Amino acid sequence: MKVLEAVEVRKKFHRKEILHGIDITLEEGEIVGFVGPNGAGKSTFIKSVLGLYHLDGGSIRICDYDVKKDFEKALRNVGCIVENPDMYQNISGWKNLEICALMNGISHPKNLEVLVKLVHLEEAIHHKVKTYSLGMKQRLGLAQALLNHPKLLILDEPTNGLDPLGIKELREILKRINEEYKMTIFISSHILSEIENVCDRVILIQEGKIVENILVSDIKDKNISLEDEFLTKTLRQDGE
Amino acid sequence: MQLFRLIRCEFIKHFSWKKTVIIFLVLIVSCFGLMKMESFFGSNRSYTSPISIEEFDDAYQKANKALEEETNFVNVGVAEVFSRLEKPYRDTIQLLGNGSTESCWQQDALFSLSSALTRLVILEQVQAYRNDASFLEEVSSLPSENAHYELYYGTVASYTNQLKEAVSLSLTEFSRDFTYYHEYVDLVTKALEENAYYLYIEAVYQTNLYYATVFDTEINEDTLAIYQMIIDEKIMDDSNYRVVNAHQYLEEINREIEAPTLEEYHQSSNQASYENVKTYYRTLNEDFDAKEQILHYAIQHDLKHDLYYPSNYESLYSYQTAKNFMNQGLHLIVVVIFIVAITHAGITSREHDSGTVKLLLSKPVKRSKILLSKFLYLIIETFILWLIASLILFVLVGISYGFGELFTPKLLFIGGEVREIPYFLWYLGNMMVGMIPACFFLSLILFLSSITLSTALTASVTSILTLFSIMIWVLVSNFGFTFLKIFCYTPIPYLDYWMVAYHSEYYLESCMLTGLYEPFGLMISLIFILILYFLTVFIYTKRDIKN
Repeated sequence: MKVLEAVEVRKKFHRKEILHGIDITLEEGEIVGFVGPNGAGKSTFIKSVLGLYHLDGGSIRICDYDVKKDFEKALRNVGCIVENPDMYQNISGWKNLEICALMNGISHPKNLEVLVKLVHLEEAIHHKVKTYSLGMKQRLGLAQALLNHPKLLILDEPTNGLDPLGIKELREILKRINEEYKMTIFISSHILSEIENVCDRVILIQEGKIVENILVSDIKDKNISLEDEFLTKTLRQDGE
Repeated sequence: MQLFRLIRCEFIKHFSWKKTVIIFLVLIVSCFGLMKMESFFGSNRSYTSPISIEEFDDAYQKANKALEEETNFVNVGVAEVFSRLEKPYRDTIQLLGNGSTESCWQQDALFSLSSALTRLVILEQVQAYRNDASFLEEVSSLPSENAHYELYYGTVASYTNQLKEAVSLSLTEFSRDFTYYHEYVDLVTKALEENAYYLYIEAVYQTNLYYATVFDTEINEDTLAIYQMIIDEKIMDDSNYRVVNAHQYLEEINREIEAPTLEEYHQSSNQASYENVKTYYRTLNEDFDAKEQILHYAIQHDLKHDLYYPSNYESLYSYQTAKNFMNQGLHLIVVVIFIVAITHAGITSREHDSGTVKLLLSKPVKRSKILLSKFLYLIIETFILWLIASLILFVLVGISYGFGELFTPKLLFIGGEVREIPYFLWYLGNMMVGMIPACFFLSLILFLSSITLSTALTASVTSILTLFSIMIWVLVSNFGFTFLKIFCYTPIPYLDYWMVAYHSEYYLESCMLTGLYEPFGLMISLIFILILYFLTVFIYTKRDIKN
């Protein structure tokens, strides 16, 4: 089943085209990396998927629901962390999760404690978010993204600010939820080594266009790193 | 259900104990301030005596001097009478001559006693010298405006004119006057010495009968019935609520103000149209009629009313009741909106500043629903704050003036008759109606916060407009800033709906200028709310959320 289907997605800002007809398809159960240089359009694409930006052309469907026409049904299947996970600072992590649960249509969330345990925030969950470290905020962000058991989990730079232990923990959580729940995970990141360790497939974007769409296994078969592949592709694009 | 969940989210986001305590303290201070203001503008019974004991002694000395000098017959006559009258009245004047009294009736009694004593002195003088030709000749030669020495508070010209008039009375008329004034002065003096209000009313009752006979006018049966009640029950004090009801009723009956004619209108510098002027007077007279009906009902059914009578404006007799004070709670909407403008100006803008807007708008909820939930949250929060402020006022008023009265019915003139409505039902009803113009300010907060994304701008504009809303009536009617009447076509002046709906003097004068009355305020508020809300939704849903 296609969890995400983006067709000919276009987006302009101040007459400058940022996305030039992006086509991306995500199948159920995949973990897909989304990489590209700064300003390539990664965040713009992700925000377009989430309805934060309005498209200038094309369409995006999530679990067969058009984001523009059936916004609520489409987003019901999505959990996300966009850029830094900004939560409500003056209330506790628990209350933040309550708010997210209510917005997802869950009046009496039963699995909050399970999620809190999953992201290792048992001790701090009732403290105000403004007392959290960046790593704790990232984990809380992940917990809120998983609240509604989404079919599609979108993570924009999830390892930002995490220490190596934190990165490792996140990797393990992502793999676990992918295996247990067959959740499709779409990760945008600069840390190519992590993308290589976690993802099944990588989409490379540059200057608003998809440059490459390759399986990680194919890269490994070639005995090259993702970083080399990335640099090769980007230099070739610049050269052209 | 989804909307309910979203509103619940807003409550979770915005609640904090620190903020709650601060708001609670602000509301308490506001309630205290309101009660203090109401006391200040309420009945003010500090009056000064019309004549001081020094003035009395001075007049007495002048009379004695005239007697010694034998300057003229008239003065001698006055001095002789004055010396006989001096003792009982000097005591009375001394009783009330120290500058203040708590009772309205004592002040009235002293005023009337001073002029009655003047008349009595004149009548006694005329009686003593009636058959003396030289006295009569002297009186007839007195020029009307010429000076004699001042006796009491009455003017000098009044004294000489009264003297000439008393001399010219027929024997029948003179006897009737003499008897009446003697009885009147004795009764009023006794009332003041015994501090008995009903004795004073007995004197007033006799006066009513006397003038009906002398001037052949009709006796007002309602008036006499009220006086009879006070006399029969020997009511000692005029502050009793039944007496106050009665006095206010007597002031209210047959009140009518005539609108100027077209010719008079054209001669005046009136800035209102003639139609507006006529409507203003008609509205005022309808108010008088309604108040009269309510007062009559209150007397018949032995109830306290809570009609607003600022004592220096309309009536010397008014009582500050628990309900009068509690009613002022309806003005608290201005304070509440001010608080909401300051504390919730960032209802949307702060979400953008902190970045939580991405979390919010990436959830499966349409932006229009999110905006609606924020708007409904503002409305509910405002109503709750207003209710809390009213409860605080209820406790303060109850402690100060007693809780009992707050559970008595409210008297309203509806559909041509007086009806008793449970007070709290009336109060809540007024709150709900008053929320309509308040919602304009809330929609303005939502609009500015969502479109400008500036918390500071939203707070400044809304709080300034809130203050302006209470100033505008004063500026238009008292300071003549009639160019401001353009704002009467917006919801801004109608925030304090209690003042608007119950025809305060400022409001009436402003309505004369604009021709617009309170239903207009509700209607224009609803229109502006809808326009602002849909404009907010339209612009915000089309926007790309960069942060």
